[in-house]
Amino acid sequence: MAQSKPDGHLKPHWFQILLTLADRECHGLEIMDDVSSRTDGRIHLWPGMLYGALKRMTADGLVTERKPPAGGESRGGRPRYYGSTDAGRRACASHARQLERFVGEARAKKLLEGRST
Amino acid sequence: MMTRLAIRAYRCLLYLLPADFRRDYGPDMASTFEAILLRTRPMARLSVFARATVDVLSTILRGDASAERARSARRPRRIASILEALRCDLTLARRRLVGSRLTTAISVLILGAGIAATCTVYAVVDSILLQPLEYAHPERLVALFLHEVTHGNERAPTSPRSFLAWREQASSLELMTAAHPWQPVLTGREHPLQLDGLRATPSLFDLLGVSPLLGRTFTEALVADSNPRIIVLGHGLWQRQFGADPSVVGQSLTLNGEAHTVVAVMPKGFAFPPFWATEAEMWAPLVLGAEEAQSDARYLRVFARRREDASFRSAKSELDVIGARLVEADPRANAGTAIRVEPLREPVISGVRHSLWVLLGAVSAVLLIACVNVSGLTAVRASGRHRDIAISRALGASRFRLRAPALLEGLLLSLASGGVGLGAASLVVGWIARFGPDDVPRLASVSIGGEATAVALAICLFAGIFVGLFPATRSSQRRPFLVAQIAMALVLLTSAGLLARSYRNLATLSPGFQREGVVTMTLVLDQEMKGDRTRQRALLADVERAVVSLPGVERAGFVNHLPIGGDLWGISFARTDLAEPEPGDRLRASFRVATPDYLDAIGIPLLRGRLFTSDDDRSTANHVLVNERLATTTWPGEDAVGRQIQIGGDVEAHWTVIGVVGDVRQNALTEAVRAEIYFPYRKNPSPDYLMTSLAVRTSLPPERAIPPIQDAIWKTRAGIAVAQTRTIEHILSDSIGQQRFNSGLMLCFATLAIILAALGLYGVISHSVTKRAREMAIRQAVGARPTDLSRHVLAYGLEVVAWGVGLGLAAAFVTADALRSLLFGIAPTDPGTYVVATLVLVVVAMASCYLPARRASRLDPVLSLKLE
Repeated sequence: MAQSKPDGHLKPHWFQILLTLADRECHGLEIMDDVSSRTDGRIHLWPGMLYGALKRMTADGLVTERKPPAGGESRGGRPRYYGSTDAGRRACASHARQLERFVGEARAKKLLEGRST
Repeated sequence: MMTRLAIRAYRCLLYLLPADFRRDYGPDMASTFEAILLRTRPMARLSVFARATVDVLSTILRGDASAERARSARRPRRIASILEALRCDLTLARRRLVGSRLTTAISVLILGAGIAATCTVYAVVDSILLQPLEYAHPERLVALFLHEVTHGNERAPTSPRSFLAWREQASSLELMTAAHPWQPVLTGREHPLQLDGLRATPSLFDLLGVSPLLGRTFTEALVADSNPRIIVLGHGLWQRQFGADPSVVGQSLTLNGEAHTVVAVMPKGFAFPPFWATEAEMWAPLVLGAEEAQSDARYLRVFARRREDASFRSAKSELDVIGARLVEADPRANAGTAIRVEPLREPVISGVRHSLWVLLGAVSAVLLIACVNVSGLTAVRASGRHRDIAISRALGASRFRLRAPALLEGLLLSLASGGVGLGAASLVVGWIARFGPDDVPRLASVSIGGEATAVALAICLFAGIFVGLFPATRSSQRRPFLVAQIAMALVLLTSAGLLARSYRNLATLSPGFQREGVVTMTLVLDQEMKGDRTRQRALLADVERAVVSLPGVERAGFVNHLPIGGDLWGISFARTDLAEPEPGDRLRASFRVATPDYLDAIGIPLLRGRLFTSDDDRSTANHVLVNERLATTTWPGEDAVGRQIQIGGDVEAHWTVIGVVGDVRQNALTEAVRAEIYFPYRKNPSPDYLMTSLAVRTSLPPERAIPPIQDAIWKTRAGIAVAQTRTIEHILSDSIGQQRFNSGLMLCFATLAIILAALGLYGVISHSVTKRAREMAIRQAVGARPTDLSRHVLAYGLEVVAWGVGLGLAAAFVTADALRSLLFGIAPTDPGTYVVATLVLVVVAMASCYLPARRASRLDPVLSLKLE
């Protein structure tokens, strides 16, 4: 678990991938599109970055490969679907809680006043 | 084609990844990349490819793709061994390159030339087509035109009345601004100076959202509250005429006899409008008075910004409805018109987009030829390494380790070539930005930016991998590469031939007037003359007399706008002997106002009737001259002389045609001739104006003829501003600058391609002669004559050339259609051009086969056998 430390810290793109896979199974392109649209294009997962991360996250037991759903998009190849494991969901939740704490502190220091959060 | 190529190149790139990762994820990565590419705009695909290339390399460097995760102990050892292997391979690659210096130098030059050409064209394409215009929210800026449906003019200017109606009714657009060119005369200096400017309604700078360098630009509120006689200076004008003095803001300048206050100076690089009156270097507010607001004269160009919540499509639909409503409300003014809205960049780039894509296609072919060529040269170098490879394999080296040195060799070679290429490209791009044709938009801003450098890097990687992975070592593998090179060279050669012949057609086309010996200039009379046509005419007659009395001058005459180089004004007319047509069906012609000697001075021939005399100016009878086109279309099969027409909205006045003159190309050499009417100078049907053009036929060279003409003008009246002093030759030459640029570049690419193809052929055949020396010696020993040997070598070359020519001709026919819109006076399948291009290619190719063939015939069989 080199990249998901016990304090819940994840690399930003790992966190985004886990967030996408938290409630559904997706193939690579879907993950890429979801992350890009959620982050307004600020995190764009190029294929090398995406599949490199998926390989490592699989090795760390955060995600796992799933069977393609019936009628899943084929794009002429063998679309591999990924889903989050329990460990992945826990790591994602822990990271989210940490972010939440940071946001709470920012709010307490009145940094977010006058903005919709 | 480019897309498929990019996908293939990406797949090749994936070979750099460790084998297990590639096996597991390579297909997914390739299909994801393909999906990204296919939904990207074609223009941005090259940049996506560059970023994906960087992504693959980062993946390798990050180590994401390497074998195992839990490797805390193994990892350093593994990295160390990889680095050691890399170091060994790099040393080997460097040694091999240094060991054959000449081949390496030739390879770097060849690949460098390919990369330089590609980067240059990419930089041009990027700066002109891909970079957004330099205003705020450029994607939402639009230009609005009046579409004169009946006259087929899609981008006509509109009238103040229509502009105000559009602005009031269009809810999907904001900050709508109208503008017209303004060329005031600056006085208070040694000679009056005509400046190029633009008058725009006060929302202009809010629309563009560009901050000034100094001062404050005008806004609606500022103009409403204060004197509208304020001006904003462009950076170039500020530097040239005001010595970059910051205190110019607040100073008063006398323009057209009235004091104007400078309120701001714009930053370097700011230009508006980006099309049409592109010389504007000064902006002043345009306030439409009550009378002007009701005018139907069409002279305004309109710009606006699409609201954030409105799509382009909804804005277009809304304007269609407004256009139809205006036609219904006032058919006399608006019949046969519609509103055309386009993204602002569209009219800027639409004229050059196609030719730039063609050039990018051509240069990609040159790059491919260069890659194939260098891969051939590398193969020649690698051909002695079979034994090394066999030993390494026997010792258990993996395929990756076997390929690594060659790959690194290719990458080193391509990086060196990339350096050479980028250097050369930046020189060429700098030259193009300074000396490129004026009629290609945004060319002055062309530079090798970050994008172009990224593309150069991607090209280097592509070339490196291509050269490193495909050093086709067997001669049977080389043949398809040679054939492809020759085929591509032939496609480029035919394209260049077609463009060059098309350019020649334009350069030698008769414009309808004299090409040589005519000097022209624009004169602006001072404000005192305003409104007094009698004094204006008398002054022009004095200037004409003064100029004609100069040595060398044969004729001199005035016209409102010169053909090709000047503006083109239109007017409607109708035959008086037929019933009044519906407003939208009236005939239209361009019109010019000329003094009697103008037609003679510029060399437009009189075909029937007579030319103007000074009596036509004074006479109460209304006389006009018409061009041949108007005469034959309005009175087909009849003589136009003596016929009468009625012009514009004035149905009472009848104008008699006194003569028919030759057709001239009015607006551009490539455009068809339109109907045209010439009025005597004092019968100018347009509102009063003080600007006119002088044409002088002289036997002296221009540099000697011009100064005395200017002096004569200023001696006659010191307050006249003289501008745009040019010869007709220059005007014509400038008007086909874009075609010259295209055909010049294409010729360069074709020359490069043919040289590379010939070199490639020479290299491979020459190498095969060396390799087959033993076979040749045996042939000689069993009775073959030297001529048989050279014929044998030539036959191999001929076979390759024949295949290449066959494929090349087929490809040229298929791709010829892409050139159709760029050609003038020649068909894209012109047989003559194809024959000549094929002959040139065959001669060059056979010449490059001849040298090795001659060497084959002179081989000493005994020596060859001994050496083996």
